[in-house]
Amino acid sequence: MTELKIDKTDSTPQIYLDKNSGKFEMKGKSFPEESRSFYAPVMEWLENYAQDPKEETLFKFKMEYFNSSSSLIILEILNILDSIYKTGKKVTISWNYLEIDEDMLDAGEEYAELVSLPFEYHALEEADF
Amino acid sequence: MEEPFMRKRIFIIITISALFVHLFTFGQSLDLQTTNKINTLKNNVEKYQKENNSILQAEAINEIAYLYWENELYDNAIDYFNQSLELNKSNNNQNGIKSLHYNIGLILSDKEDYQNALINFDKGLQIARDLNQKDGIYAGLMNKATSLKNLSQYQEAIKHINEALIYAQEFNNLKLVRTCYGMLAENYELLGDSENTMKYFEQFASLDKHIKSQEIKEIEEKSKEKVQQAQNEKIKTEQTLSETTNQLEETQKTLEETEAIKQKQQLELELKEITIQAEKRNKRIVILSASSIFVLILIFSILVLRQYRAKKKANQLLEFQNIQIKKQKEEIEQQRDLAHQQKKDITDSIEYAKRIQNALLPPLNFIKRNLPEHFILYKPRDIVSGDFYWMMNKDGKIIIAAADCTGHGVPGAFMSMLGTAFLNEIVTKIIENKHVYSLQANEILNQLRNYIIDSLHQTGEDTESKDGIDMALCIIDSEKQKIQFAGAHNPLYIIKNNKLEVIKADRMPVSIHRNAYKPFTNHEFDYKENDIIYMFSDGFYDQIGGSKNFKFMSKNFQKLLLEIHKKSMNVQKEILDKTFEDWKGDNIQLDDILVIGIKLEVAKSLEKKDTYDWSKKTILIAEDTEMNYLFLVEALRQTRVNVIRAKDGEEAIEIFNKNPQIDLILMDINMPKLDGFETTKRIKEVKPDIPVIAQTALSLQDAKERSVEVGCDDFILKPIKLKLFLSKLDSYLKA
Repeated sequence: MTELKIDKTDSTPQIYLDKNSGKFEMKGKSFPEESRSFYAPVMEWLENYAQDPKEETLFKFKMEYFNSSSSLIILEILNILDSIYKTGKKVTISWNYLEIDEDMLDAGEEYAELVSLPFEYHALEEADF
Repeated sequence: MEEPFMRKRIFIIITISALFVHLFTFGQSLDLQTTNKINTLKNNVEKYQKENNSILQAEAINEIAYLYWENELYDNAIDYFNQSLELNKSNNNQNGIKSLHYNIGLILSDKEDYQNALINFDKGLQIARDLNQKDGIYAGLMNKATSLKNLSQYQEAIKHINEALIYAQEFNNLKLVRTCYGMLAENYELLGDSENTMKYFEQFASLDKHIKSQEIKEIEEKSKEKVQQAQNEKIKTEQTLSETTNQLEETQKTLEETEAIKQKQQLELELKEITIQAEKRNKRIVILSASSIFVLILIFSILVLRQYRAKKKANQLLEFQNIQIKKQKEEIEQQRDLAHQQKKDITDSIEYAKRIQNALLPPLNFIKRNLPEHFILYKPRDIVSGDFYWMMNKDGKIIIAAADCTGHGVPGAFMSMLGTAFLNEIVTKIIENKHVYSLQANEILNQLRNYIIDSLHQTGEDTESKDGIDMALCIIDSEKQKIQFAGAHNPLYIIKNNKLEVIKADRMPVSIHRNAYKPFTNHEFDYKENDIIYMFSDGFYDQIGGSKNFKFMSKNFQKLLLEIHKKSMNVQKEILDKTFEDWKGDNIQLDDILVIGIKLEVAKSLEKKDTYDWSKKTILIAEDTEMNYLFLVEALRQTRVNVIRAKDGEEAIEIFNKNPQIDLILMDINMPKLDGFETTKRIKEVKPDIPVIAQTALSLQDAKERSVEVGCDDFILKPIKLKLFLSKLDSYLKA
């Protein structure tokens, strides 16, 4: 399975999905013009991955901002991961946020309520962000 | 010493300004087209005069007058209307005379000559009354009222509007009724009568809302179609455009190929020339005969000629292709223009939609009356907005909501319209069902969620249609000093004693959601005078900007509010606006912005409302007009009296005979089948001591006299004055 690498822009996040190295990351800002078409390759990749996932998946979010249509997409990503989790594999969400950004912590907690996946929260200082 | 100079200077200024006024007022000139039209009409006037056809003559004169009026040549217009007036008088066309007086009156009003306008309106009104032409009477009364208002004769104006109101109600024309309420409010305001101002303004506002919601439904449908149409056309044009661009590219390719061919040919030509030259040189050495030279020259000439022709032909082809390309370029440009035009059309219709959206927001002075100390910072990202605010006053309780629909721009705006309409309907229904005492903030959100799920057919299966609304909703009860709050994602901030408290919202939107079966939480708490609440969407604190290109964040938003909360509301708004703009800098605005701040007040314990408990009494209301009946029910609601309704005189008698417990009858005079006089007479024959109170819309003396004559115990003038009405009923119900 080939890796998926999308570089960040002013309005879209950096995304790096690699089964071999076990790195699953999404970070930055997300308010693309057309969120559904921007995320289409990501969804496709994850759906393929869900067919044959690794025993352990650690998916790392490190978001600064996302708009409401992106927030729906993130929920869909979590739903795919949740379906993997429900097959008995280990899946963990690492939810990283800027320490003072309580709204981002809030958003993570709300997602956690909507799926059964375990969430780990990490408040980062500005220098680490 | 300076005084004479000053005087002179002032005199000059006045003269100059007079000159300007003169230029503006009388310098209006007609364009050529209108002048021609008027000249033709003038010729017609002469022609009809010769033919002795005074009807057509008057019509032509009227047309001239209208043209002058439209072009603001008021004096000319009046002049021609007067000519028409004379003709109509000689024809004894009363209706015409009436209309002409109204027109002249209106022009005089435009000229701000209200005294003379009034005289003309009065003449017209008199004729309308003689003709018993009700719409004419209504128009005359309202025209007069406007003039009277402008002449500061407010009491007189009110008298006229009240009479006009009766006609408007009789026509069952809600728009006219609305106009009457509006003008009543205006005049009472000018009189400084705040109680009546409020009363009529509220009636105006609720009727206005009702009418607008009807209109908006229609416009919404139409503009939806229009946008769709324009979009379809745009797509079509874009397709054609791309096709043509492809063609152009192909043509350019051909052109390049032709160019290549041309170069190749030229090369061949040069090559041949060299060969020929070489041959020529060789042959000159070998053959020296003149004839051979001649043959050679001949051959050479033929060759050159052939090449020359081929070259010319290629050039002609090139030229032809150039023309074609130019033509196609023009076509493409035309189509580009068309696409631009269509884009403009779409923008225009969205601009129009913006007007609708703004009309839906509660009017600013309505909010000001209910919440004297408040600010609203409202900054849509695009032309139309997915954020909206909503407010209603019910029984002194203020219900206010700050809402954020998914998306911004057109989709968000559609949702906001749904939200506004639903909130109106939900809250109005709660009142109508008399569940007013259970008015709960969370209940409004629960119901709104049902409405949205139902109307958008949200099933929860399709992951792609989860449009919804985030909302903070408060009910402020300034009498009891209590606030209720319910929130969908959006919290409420309250600042008291220099501390900011966050009242968290439920973590779900007003729409389909995993937890949509759970009711929203109702928060209720007491407040003190000058506590401040803030309601908002997330647009403000989620904006990216600043030196590090981060979100503003709610923490900083709270800090900012705490810093500025003691400043006046307007200043707070300005600071928030400026802070936002500074933060945003060169970034785009990411979302719609809405921040509402309200400094809470305690009801200035107005004179204690007279309270009546008539829960053991029964009143029969004989009233055919739905609106009047609803008004009476509303007026009587607090007394908890039992109400039975009859829709006409016959039904009133029938109901009265079947219900011996009826304590009092409110009798409308103007009813179908059997009018109020006759109905009263018949009821009094059966039971002389039952109190019957006539509601006469007409303030005329004879209506009063007749109502007493047939045995009505009392009568009430419409529109009803609540206090007087209740105390009058009380005197009869006590007895």
